[in-house]
Amino acid sequence: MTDIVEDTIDIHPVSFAPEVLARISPELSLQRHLSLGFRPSLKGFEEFREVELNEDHLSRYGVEHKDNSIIGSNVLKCGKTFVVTTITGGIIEDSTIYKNEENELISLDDTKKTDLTNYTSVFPVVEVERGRAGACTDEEMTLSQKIYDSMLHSKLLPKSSLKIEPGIRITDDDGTMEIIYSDESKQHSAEENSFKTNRKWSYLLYAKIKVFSRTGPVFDLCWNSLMYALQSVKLPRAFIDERATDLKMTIRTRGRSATVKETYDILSDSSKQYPLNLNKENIAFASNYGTITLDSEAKLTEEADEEDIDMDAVETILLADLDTESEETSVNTTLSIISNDKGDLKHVSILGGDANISPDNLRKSILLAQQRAKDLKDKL
Amino acid sequence: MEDLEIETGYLSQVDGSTHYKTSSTTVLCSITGPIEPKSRQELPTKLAFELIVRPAMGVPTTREVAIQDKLNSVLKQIVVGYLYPRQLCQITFQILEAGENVELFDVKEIISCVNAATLAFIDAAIALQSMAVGVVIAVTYGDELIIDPSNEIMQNSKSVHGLVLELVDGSQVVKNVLLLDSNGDFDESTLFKVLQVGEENILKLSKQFRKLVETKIQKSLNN
Amino acid sequence: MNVQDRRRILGPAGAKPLVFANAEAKEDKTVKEETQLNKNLSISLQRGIISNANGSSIVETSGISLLTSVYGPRSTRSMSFEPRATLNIILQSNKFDTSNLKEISNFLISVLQCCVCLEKYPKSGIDLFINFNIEDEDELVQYIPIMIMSCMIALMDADIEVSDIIGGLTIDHTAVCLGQNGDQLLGLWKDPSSDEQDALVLNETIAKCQEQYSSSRQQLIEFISNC
Repeated sequence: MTDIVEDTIDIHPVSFAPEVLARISPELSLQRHLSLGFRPSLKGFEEFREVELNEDHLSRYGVEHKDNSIIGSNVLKCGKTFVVTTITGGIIEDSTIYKNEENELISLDDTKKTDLTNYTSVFPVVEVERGRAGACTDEEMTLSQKIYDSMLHSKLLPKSSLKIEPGIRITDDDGTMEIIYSDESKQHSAEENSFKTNRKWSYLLYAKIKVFSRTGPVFDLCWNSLMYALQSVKLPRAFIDERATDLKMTIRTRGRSATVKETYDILSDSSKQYPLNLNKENIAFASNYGTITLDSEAKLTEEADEEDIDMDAVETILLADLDTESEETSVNTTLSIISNDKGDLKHVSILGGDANISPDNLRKSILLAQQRAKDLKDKL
Repeated sequence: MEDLEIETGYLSQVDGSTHYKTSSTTVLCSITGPIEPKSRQELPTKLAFELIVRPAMGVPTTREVAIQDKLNSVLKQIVVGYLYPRQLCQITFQILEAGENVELFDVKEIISCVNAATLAFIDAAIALQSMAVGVVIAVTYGDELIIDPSNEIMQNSKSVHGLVLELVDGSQVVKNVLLLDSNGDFDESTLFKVLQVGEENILKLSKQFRKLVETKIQKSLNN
Repeated sequence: MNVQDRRRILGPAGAKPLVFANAEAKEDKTVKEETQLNKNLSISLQRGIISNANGSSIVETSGISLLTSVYGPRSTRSMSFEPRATLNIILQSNKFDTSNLKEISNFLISVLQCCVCLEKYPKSGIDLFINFNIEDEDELVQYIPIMIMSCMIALMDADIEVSDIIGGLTIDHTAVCLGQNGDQLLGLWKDPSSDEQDALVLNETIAKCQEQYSSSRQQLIEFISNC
């Protein structure tokens, strides 16, 4: 303790390569980039990533004929991320959707078009690949739910579009089979009527959305991919086998046995289909934004010397299309907008964080959402 | 908003609780904390949250996970988290009455949960930097704005909005928008009208909340 | 439809998936047989498309598109010391059922263990995820050569050391996996549904595969060296 060390110690500032700094201090890395006028991804503040589309290659009605059960699909690539959406169908007896026959008649009435219960949604399952097997993550569950809710509230998919008008398959004496649809052929109408059934069916749409190479928030990518996929959906004509319609009377008398009902199965015609009828004016595209307060202390020193910085001035900037880890972790004030090219909004959600959302920024993001929607609409 | 029934300190075994009842929605919020977290929940510099939403009927599904996600992002903004490093706050919401068609909406439940939680935080004496207060607004096809609409109005309205604002300075000043959840068919001007009308109503509501807290504290001081 | 699954939005429980009446099924079969002959010619390879994985690949033929991603070598949850890396393969398909996929995955693991230098990565796990994006072929056996190819590319894309470039070929519903320039037989897979064959026919099949192996191996090497 007696000796006092006289040697001076040199302290060197530690410097990191940009990609290392981005890992250890994403916030600082982001602020440094922003102070130079661009983002870690080298995009401008209000610049979006380019979107590439792969038209329906996966479904049975796609570019090549396939024998699978996919009725609509889309592959969307945005930056490094890509989303594969496949849509499959199901059939459900309407009694579980509509409460009774009356209720169903009301739903056809135009005056009630405004009622939200006349609309439905697809049943989405979002999977984000991240190299882990096992149960869904909270992110996947939240995404699926948000897609479900947004589609329902956008009134894009009326329940009436999914109603089934089943045909009848008749087997002739010589064994050839023919399917008769009441709306196609008038000559068989007499036969048709004799098979008329009180039971009603509807299609259900399931969407499987797989996200690969996630680099940032993915709700807008999933939504947009689903929009494209839905526009490619074709619904098959469905029919009941003649033999099954004959069984009807016996089923009735035997009661509600589920096993007997199975024989009444409804089949899908593999050669006849029609495009899904969407409320076209409600097709809208999603985009996301974030606001962040510029930290004047994070500016690089050369810059700081040039300007006279007022420490109290708070500058909040708007970033469009959030991407990269540093933006996702540091920008906690986010906006998600679903809009069409005319500026009609279908969904807006704001999650507030540190940075303030000024009316100007909100207006700007709505305008950007409209422009983005126009771009995306023109891709098809 | 006149038919609001609020009771704080409703539960005796937790640190803070609120029984929050509007004309149609009822939620019960309980807060326990700060307590010791499990090691995986622990955050080195701030308070960690564990947020659970239980539906009025049935078991929790993806719907409740989505509600939890929204509530979490709102509530972590108003708590002074750095005062409680390496500690945990458990917040549990039991929806008693949804007051809306749960297959179509979740906004009334979310807003009621936010309001209930703000009051429960005060009851639990957890430090807040601001108050989070919210309202539900429906816009009808006649472009009429309805505050705290019934389920029937929401089902037949053009758009439905849930708005939560962050209030500071004795709940006089709006600091930020904490949550906006707008669905349906609307445009920019409608959205700004909703924000404006929402702000007026939220400021009114917050006065009611402060009054409630004041009487509660006054009572405990007198005892 | 699993009613118990509350983590996914599955829709109403009473729904049944669409069942397509296969009126044209017979026609399709003949078309398929023809294309099968030319399959090896039209194979497209890609690598390094998934940015958050260590390595990835897409291998596509006319009826099959597989996306494989490799995560690792990374730490495992196991508390005990493992001198070698553990290889894990997860197959994700909409068409085939899980029990069959599980078997294929075990088969692939045993084949790949012959060439991946597991001893270089102690205490680590290497996880491969194979996504079936296009699955028009009906027999799992048709996928095996493509799966092996995509695994090899993805592993090399992840800079994981391998001691050999192995390959697989499918002839007459039998998949043969070969290594060491075709001298070593690493694995043999027959779909349970296919017909019984005697040892003589099997030997013939293996011999045929050995002949073709070098060309498929060459294709892989060319692709890798061009990257």
